[in-house]
Amino acid sequence: MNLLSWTFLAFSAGSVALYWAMPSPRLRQAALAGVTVGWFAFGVWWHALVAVAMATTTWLLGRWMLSRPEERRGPVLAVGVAALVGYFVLFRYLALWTGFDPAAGTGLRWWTPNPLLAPLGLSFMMFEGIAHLADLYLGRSEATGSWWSHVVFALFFPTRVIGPMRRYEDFTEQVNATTRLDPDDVAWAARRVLWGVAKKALVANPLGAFALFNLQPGLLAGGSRALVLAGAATYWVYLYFDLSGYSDIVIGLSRLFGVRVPENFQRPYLAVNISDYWQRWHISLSAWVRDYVFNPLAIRWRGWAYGAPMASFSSMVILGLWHGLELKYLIFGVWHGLLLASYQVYRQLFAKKPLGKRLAKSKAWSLAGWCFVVVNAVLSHMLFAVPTAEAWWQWVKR
Amino acid sequence: MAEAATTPRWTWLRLARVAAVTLAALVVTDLALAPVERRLDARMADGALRNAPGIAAADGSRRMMFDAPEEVRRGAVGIAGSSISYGAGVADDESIPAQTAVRLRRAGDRRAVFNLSQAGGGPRDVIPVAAAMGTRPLRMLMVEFQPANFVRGLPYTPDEVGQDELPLLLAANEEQRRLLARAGMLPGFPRRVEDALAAVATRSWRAYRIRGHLWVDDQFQPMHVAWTLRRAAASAGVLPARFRGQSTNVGRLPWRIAYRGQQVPSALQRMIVPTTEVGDVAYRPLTLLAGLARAAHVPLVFYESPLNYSFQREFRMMSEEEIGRLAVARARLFARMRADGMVVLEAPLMPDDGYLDRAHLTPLGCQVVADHLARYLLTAAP
Repeated sequence: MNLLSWTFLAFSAGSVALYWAMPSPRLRQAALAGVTVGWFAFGVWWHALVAVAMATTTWLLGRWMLSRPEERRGPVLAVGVAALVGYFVLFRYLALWTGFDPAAGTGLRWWTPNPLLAPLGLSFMMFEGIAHLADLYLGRSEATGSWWSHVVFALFFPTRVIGPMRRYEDFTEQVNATTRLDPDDVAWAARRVLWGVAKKALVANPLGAFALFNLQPGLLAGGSRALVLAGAATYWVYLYFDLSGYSDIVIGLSRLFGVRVPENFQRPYLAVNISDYWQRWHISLSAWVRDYVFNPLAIRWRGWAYGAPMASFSSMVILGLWHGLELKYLIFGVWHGLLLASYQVYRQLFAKKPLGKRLAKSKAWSLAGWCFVVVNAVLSHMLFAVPTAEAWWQWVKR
Repeated sequence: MAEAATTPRWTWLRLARVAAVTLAALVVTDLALAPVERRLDARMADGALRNAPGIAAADGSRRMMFDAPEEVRRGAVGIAGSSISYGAGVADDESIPAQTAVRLRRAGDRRAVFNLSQAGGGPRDVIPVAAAMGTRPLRMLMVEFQPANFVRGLPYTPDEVGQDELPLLLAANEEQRRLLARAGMLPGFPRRVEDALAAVATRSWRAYRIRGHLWVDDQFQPMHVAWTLRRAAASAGVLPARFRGQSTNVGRLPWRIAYRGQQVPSALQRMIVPTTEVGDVAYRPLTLLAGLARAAHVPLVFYESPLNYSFQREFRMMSEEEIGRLAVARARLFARMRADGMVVLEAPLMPDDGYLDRAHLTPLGCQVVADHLARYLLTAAP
């Protein structure tokens, strides 16, 4: 169901009305789970079962982890990560690894799910589940909650398509605590949703048409270099308006259920260095990677001078591969990993010295940093628009 | 005092007032659009009303299949195909359907001609139109096809039913529904809910009904603007002279004039012919179309769109081997279609300046194809 369609608008309005018509939090949650099953039915109904299965897996593993002494919880976390990644691989990659050709629609084995019909929000569900288990392991959470609360968390339809990624504890607390719909929230949500629709329909769609046309394989191989570059620059702008437009719609809609989901973008075009950029761009994803990949690795490697840069590099590789197990996403991850790692080395070796401090205050230095971020962001995000890394490389080599 | 200066809190009453004012503004806007819709209606029967480009691919089809008076629709010829029949690069009244209507009128034949084509479309995209003929029959449906698109080994894109195609598919008759179900194209319950909501919006909101013509009108497309600006900049000397020509079908110059000097056509103009076989997956929509038309008791004619071989050779877009392979594949496709009981019209001989590029046509080219179709309609059609 398209977030900009009348169906989604009517469905959301009906869901909000039903949600608040329920007399108790328990019944409201049941209504929320029920409408999300209905929402899944607009695509493939049994995908709701996958969401429930992943929620159940997370809940069971959480209970198992809490039943063990703290020093013996590591293997449970490993099993949990493997199980949740397993769901992801099963639905998204198994068919591709066993001979399915999505371009021709042939070679699908009877025992593999069709990856073209993979459940919506699968990667979000995987990351949210891993985050909960990691929080239990690291001691940030002390309870795993009820099975039902995990199901409601997984079956929150507004965030299923495009995120933002949420945390189980925050969500559950809000769903249990909110008792009435505030007109202030309605006005705020309406403004946010309209803003998101305008971003998507008025800005992102026309820009996307221009960008994607100019980044077609034929033009990458033989078209004007300048037009391809213009397409790449436009694509980066399009990505922001597209993703942040959708995020605005989701954040606004979630507020109508009394849930405040995390922001996803914070004026990324103002970033003056690559670290700043990743604190402004796709924030829920970069925050997840920071909390569950970077921090543990940085702590583990803290005795090593280059521990933090290496942790940054590893984190960005994982962030890249989150978009898909393809060479182009690996290149994206390595690229940004190298940028972030270099930036950290620069900070360690240079930023605290007098010249470094003077430069940090200089506007020219900030402008140079901004240009550096823009060039790298345009050229690297272009990888998302091209069909393969080879097509992109052909263009780079020309 | 300090509290009074802060933003007032929203109340349910205040929200209701804002909603009422918004609704009133929408109603006024909708009433103001009535003359626009009347103008569109007037163009419907003479082939000059086109599907809205960019979005709402079947929007125009739906208007013509559902909104036209029954006596007009039952006598109408539907012409459906890609941007070539749609008329990309030519004016509304220069397109193949519009020119066919002109020729029929000149011969004293007053039947309406509907332009049911869409840019980027092909026979597969005509399936919803053929389905709608089950309960909204036309007198005849003519479907454009290009043999090069039916060669085995070309990439295959899985079928998806767009929201705008739903009302057309759901208008199918019983026999057609069986055919569509067998092809996996009959929408399930949720999509019907979606269709019902869209139908309510279409009935009750004029701006939504004609949105394709308001939001992205015939002349306003991002690419069109980009290339127009580029050409203007080249003419003013801001960009190199080679940008004066065109690299897409949005211009109106015959290809030898457009692509002169250093102007090189886009790599997208290349025709790829990997084999001499007809692809079964690509062929399937043709069979389904024929079945749907039979089930609606509407005669169906496939007409071949011309291909500019001179262009392909001039810019080395196709090798001689590929041209040879295409000739074999084309003959095989025609033989298979005729063996399956389909009526097929071969492309007319096209003068060199009938082409804008590899396949799109100048106004003259549209006239040549329109002559060809009108001749068939006036002499051979049932």
